[in-house]
Amino acid sequence: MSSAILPEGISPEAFAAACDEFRAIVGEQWLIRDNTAHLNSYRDSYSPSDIDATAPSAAIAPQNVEEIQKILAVARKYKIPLWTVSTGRNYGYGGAAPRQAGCVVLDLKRMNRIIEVNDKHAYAVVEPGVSYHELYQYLQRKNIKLWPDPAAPAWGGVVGNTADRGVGYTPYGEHFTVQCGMQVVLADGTVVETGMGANASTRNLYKYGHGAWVDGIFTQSNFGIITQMGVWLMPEPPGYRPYMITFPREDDIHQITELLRPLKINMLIPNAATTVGLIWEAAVKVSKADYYTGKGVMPESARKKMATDLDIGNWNFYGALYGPPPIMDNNWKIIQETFAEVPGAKFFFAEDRKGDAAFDYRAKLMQGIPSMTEFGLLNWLGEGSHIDFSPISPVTGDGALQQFNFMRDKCHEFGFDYMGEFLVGWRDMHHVLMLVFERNDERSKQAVKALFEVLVEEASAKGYGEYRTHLEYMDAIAETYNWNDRALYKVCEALKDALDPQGILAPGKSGIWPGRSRKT
Amino acid sequence: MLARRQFLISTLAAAATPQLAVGLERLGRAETYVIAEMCGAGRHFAECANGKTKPALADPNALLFDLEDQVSRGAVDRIIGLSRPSTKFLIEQVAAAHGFTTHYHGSHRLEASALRHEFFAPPELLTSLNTISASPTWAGDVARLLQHYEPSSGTSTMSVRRSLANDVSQELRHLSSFLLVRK
Repeated sequence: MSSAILPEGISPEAFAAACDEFRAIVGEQWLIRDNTAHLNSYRDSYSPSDIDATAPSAAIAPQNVEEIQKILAVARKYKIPLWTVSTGRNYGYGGAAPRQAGCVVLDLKRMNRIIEVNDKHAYAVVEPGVSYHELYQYLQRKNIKLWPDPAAPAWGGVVGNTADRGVGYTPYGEHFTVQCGMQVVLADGTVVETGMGANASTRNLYKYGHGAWVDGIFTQSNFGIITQMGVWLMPEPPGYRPYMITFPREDDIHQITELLRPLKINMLIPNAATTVGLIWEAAVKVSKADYYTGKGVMPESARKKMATDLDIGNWNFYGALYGPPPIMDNNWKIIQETFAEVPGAKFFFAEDRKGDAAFDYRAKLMQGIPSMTEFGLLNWLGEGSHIDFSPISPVTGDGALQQFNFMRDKCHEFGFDYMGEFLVGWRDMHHVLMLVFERNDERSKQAVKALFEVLVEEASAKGYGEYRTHLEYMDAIAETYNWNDRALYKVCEALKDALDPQGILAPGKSGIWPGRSRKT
Repeated sequence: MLARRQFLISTLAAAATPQLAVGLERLGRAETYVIAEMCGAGRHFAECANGKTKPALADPNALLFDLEDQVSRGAVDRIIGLSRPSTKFLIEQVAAAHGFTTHYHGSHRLEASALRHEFFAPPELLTSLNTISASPTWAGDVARLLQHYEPSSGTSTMSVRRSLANDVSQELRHLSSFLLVRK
């Protein structure tokens, strides 16, 4: 039975005709409309809200650029909105679901070629359907001594994660920074090569080409469909040594951050290190009910016992040493002496944490080995789902402590444990708050929605900006970037009108709407 | 009379998979993929579903990619399992993209030293689940039941049945059992 959902403003007859034309392009198997079970896989499985609010009308999976161009022609003809996904499995931000109900999901999973791996210049060129797992397996099979930089779930798409400005955990953790060159199909079917261009031998070596550098406008946006992307890969270093440092008190985040900043800026800690909160660290290994079976926030006594039993701190810093042993030894001496200034700091290497699932998955990620361990965090509450609130924090003690206190207090106010971490970049920290709620409990869902709305409003008032957000909150977060009468979003809207005048590409992505749907 | 069962271990998954046992079993017309968490209950589930187990870490990466390969090739028509809830969710996501639906799921949760079962199933399956003993053998009983259950055609309404078993321990606080079938 077909889904009853239609794109906005499209009659059943017109949509049926469009689907016939889509079917003729990709074949019966790759237009998903009648198979309810398959179409349901494009819904937002983690949503705390009405799942129909972001349900697609169909999904279509092309296998190459030519099919995409034909699909776009049909979409323009009937004014069918398309929502592009690469692997579409970042459930914390909405998965493969579109922002607007009724969109046709353009699923690029069949475009899964690893087009090139250049081990001399250390880069790969991939299509959108390539996951971190697949890229890693490819490199392993070919015995190529290059590391990918995976996001936490292995099945994430290299292109999709980079296009959403996601992050990883090796020294190449700023994914968009290590992107170089992309191929984009515009709404009118034009194929564009950015940077040095398709035929240049330096296509994936030099990012900027000549004139305006446009790659950024295709990230977290709806101005084009990325069909190829170059990413730099880290050469396997001569040595690798992951480490963990635990700190006993919540307020230690102030001193940790102040000590960390010069180490990061001077690249003594080269990787995207993480300062992980107690609950996040524990949840890899235990569930809440192992220590507390009451309602609401886990009390401090239970948190203390859990920390003692698991030999972890209120903060748990993960970093890694890379390079020849003398360099690793020298850098470690500086790092250890620095963090030893924090009373109660404890230092661990891999041999000290044998069988520790949390240490193991962090060690893998910092070494470019994809895993799916992080999903285990959702067992904290049993049948857990999550949405993430992710403001950017300065790398200052005051900034980190204020932001942590604010978010922890808000979580507690609404009955949630603070489950967060600071991902430390070169000049900033991504403060990721994982809001875990009970997927099948209506009260839990309502509470997490209420909490999220308060976080958006109050974080904005405090000057915290989010770096990425869930489908449902894209408009709300966009509104917080409103300096000078929304000048930034006016630029985005002008680009949208120029590049996609019919508004067929991902309407509402990051709060960018086509003209006919614009509310402001 | 059941056809002779051939049990295959997915070597990729078995070599690298965390606390999960994976098996591919031929049962009459259906190819069944068996998944079991590496804990006491999971091992018992796998044994009764003719599964072989190998202990490892809590990373279902290799399992999920192997499952995806099997379902995309059409080698599997049903999936039964007993795992942590997060793993069940991931399996459902992989399988749904290939037309599988969850025909049954169960929650087996330790609460104040008692094991609480919640079974969500069509009425005819619930009737059989009613006979599941509240004993340490419950996991094997569920496995055998799911192994032989043939879903009726059409959509079945899920009902729920709860039962409580005292004095039954479980290593992992919360496990989920499930049956996914390709329509």
